[in-house]
Order: sequence, then C-alpha cells, then structure tokens
Amino acid sequence: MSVIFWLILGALVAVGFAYVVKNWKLTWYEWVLAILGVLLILWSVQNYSASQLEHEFRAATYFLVMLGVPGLILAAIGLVLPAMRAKKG
Amino acid sequence: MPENLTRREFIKDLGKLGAAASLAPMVALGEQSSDKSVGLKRPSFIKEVDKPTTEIDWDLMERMSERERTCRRSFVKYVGQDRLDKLTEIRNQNTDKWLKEDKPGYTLKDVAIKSGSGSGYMSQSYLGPQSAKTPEKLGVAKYSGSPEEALQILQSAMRHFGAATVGVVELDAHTEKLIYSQDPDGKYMQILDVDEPLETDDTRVIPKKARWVITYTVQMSQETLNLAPTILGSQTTTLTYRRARNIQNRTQEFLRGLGYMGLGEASTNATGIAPAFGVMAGLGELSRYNRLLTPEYGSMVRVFKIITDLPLAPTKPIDAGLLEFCKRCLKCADHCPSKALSFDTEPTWKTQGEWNNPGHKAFFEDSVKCRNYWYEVGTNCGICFAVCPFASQNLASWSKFRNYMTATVPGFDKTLVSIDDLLYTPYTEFGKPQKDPEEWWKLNLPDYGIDTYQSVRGNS
Repeated sequence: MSVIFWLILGALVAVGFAYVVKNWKLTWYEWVLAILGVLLILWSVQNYSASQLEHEFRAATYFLVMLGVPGLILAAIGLVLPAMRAKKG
Repeated sequence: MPENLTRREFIKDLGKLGAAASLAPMVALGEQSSDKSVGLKRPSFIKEVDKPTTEIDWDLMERMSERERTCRRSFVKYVGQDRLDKLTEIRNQNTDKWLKEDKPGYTLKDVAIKSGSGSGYMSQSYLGPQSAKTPEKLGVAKYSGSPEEALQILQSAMRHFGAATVGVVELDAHTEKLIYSQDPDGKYMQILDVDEPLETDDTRVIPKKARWVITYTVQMSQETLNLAPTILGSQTTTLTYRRARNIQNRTQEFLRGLGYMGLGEASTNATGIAPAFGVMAGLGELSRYNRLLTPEYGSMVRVFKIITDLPLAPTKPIDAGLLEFCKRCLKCADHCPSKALSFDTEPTWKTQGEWNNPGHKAFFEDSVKCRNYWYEVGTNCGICFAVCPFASQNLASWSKFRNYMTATVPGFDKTLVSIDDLLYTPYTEFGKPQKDPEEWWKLNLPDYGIDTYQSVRGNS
C-alpha cells in the first residue's frame, strides 16, 4: 500500500484521538482497549489489502475476521463507554 | 537526520513519518537492517552463526558423484530399465490424455508456455563466454578492492543480473567435500595446484587458488508454483533455471572484466551440492523437504554456484529458526503425494539411499519415490515447495510477524502451522494444485511472476 494511504489513515486516526482527548474522559483501561482496538484494525487493514495484492483472497477475508472484528469490539468498548458518559454528562 | 534539511530531504522524511504507522510493528519486531554481513542486510532476529543449524560430521563426508549417485542422473540404476520404460509410457500417456482432455494446467497454452520458458537462454559452460575485455587488455591493473568491497560489488552486480540473494563459501578441506567428484556430464572435478582452470574431454580442473564459491539464489514465482504439480506450475522452475544460466554467464563475464576467473556450472546442477552451499553461505537453512529454505523467499528459490579466485569476504551460516520450525511442521511431508519426505521429528544421520550424501543430519528424502511421481504427473511436481508456510509473497505484515516468531519463539511454531493451514492451504486432494490454473492466465503478475523488492523492502 502506498505511503500516501498510510499518511491519510494516520492523520485520520490522529484527528480521531485528538477529538477523544478534547471531548471525552477515558479511564486508563479504556485507553488500553481503544489503542489496542485501533492497532488491530490497522493491522487487519494492512493484511487484508496486502493479501488482496498477493491474490490470497481467503487469507484476506480471514484477516478481516480474525483481526478486524476483535479490533472493532475492543475499540468499541474503549470508545463507546466514554462517549455514552459524555452524552449523559 | 541532517540539521538543515533540503526540500527533498524534508519530503523524504515526511514520507517516512507517514509510513511509520505501518512500519512501527516491524521495527518493534526487530525488522531493522543489520551490518553483520556485507550486502546481506537482514532483520536482527536472523542470527549469523559459526556453525549451520544442520549438524555436520565432515569426517563422514566424501565428495560425491552427481552423475553416479543422484536420482536425476541415475534413476535407472535405482528402478531398473523395465520400470523406467513403464514410467515413461505412463508419463506420455497421461500428458497426452490431459492435453486432449483440456485438463487445467495441462492444456495447449500450458504446454506452450512451458516451451517458451524453456527457451531464450545463453549456453552454459564451465569457463564462461570468455569475451569480456580483461584489465590486461584494457591496459589497467586488475580489481584490487578488499574482500568486503569485492563482495559488495559482486552482490550489486549479481542482483542487477537477476540473482535474489548472494553469499560466499570459502573452500577449505571441509567445504571442498561439497564439490562433486564428478559432474552430471561425467567429467571428473579435480582441485589442483595450477594457475589456470582447465577443461578436457573427461576432466574439469579447479585451480587451488580459486577458493571462493559464489552461491546465489534465483527466485521462483510463488503464485505460479501454487499450481504444482501441473505443467503450468512447473514452468516457473524451468524459467528460473534458464534465468540462472544468463546470470551465470553475465557474472562470469563480470569477473573476467575485473581480472578474475568465474568457473560456472557446466550444466544444470553441476559443480557442487547446491543446498549444502546455500546453507554454508547463510542463504538459508536445510528444510524438511531437504532443500534450501530461505528467510527472504521461503522455499521459492533455486540455488546456483560459481567458483572464483577473486578474494571475497565469506558470508556466515544463519539461524532463523527455520530448521526448528521444520521439526514441528509436517506440511511438505503431509502433502507429498508420493510420501517421499520424512515424517521424523528430528533430522537423522541415516540416509535413505545412495542419492543422499552422508555426513550431515537431515530429513533425508526418498528420491526414488519422488521421481516416480514426477513421471506420473509429467512434471517435476514441486508440491513440497508450494505448500511450505514460508512460500509467501510477504506483502502482508503477518508474514513478518511469522518470521519473527519463528526465529524467536519456537514454542509458537505449531500454532503458526495451524494458522497457515487456515489462511493459505485448505488442502483437499493429493496432487491437486492449490489454485485453479485457468485463473492464473487472468492475473496481472509482475515480471517473471516475482517481487524483486522482497529482500530489500524491510531494510531500505
């Protein structure tokens, strides 16, 4: 994948985290879950797209499922709870 | 980073910053260039070692005759003429039937591309073309760089010619035993204290001063060999051997141009035992399928040799955890249709037949069973190469993670094999290609079907 793709993705993630820091208050374990989740999602994106280039379509799907889904769950737990708190507050 | 950045440097560094997200895990995993060997820049988790991971007893080893002992030359000796005639008949019948049936991988276009892959190469010889202008002829002194510098320029030149990785084994009383006593064409290989190499009707003489064996790999196409054991799958091997001939000729001329000799393989698989030189040169480790398994390309290489008197810095054997991985992984043996590969948990000193050279601990293969199957399918099979978990294109960062874990946490090897089964090799039937050969014709593969950036991507 091109450097520019990762540059844009990195910028989006940075903006997302900047928003979280400014508007929500995360506990330490929510930070851990959110960061772990985002890393897993990024890893799944890299493996998925690279596997497509390798013509390994089965592997690509598994990477989305095996890395992306747990990543989404972790990120969701880490970010949804503080979002809900922020909404209530 | 320089104190005052030019615009170009700034943009370059900005690009690196952007790539940090994708590269960070690799750095964390030790994916950094190492200055351990000249030219062979590898991640730091690939250790250079004094002795190869394959145990060797040099006292037990003798120089072997390629012509008299290997299955490729002496198959008839092992099976008898009647059996060979029968196998030849089976091969001809099968390939003829499959061609007429339009069996995927054996169709007319597959046979045609095999013919194409097998042509267009330079002739191959021990002494080389001998046409480059020597320094003497040009009126200058011959190249006199240090052995390290010489290795560096040699590696650069050979990669430019198409080689994948390049290493060097220094010949001594031990490693001389890896040179064949007799070449495939029957000529005897003698190492004598003479000034110039010599080739007669029955002998090739290697001057004692030619102490360095340049050992190099040439990549095969992983996507293509996935179609093993079909004709379409096997032609990447054919193409690789033909490309290697060109690389050999060009390297021989390069060496001559520097003022040195380059003694090449006079024919396919000549000069010496390729996987053994590959292991000693640190290009990889000896695998369960008893061939060279490399950290960069996995099983997707063929190995070649050129002997020279240009002083070169030898490259050291490596430990990338590959042999340890093979002890726990049985994929090649499991998928071998002829059951020619070892299922043992440890390598052994005990050879399977005269075709194996004693004196090292290995997973020795039954070459007769293997070659029997070649006749059945009409190709050189290649399934063991294709199913190896390291036979990957390494674009997915999972491959880097796998390599790191293999080198550092042997206890994780079995898990890696299970994951590989799940991701890449859902095997159904013996002898069937992993992918549909008809689909191969629709792919947009790179030149030669290989990614030449594989070995440098992580280190640039």
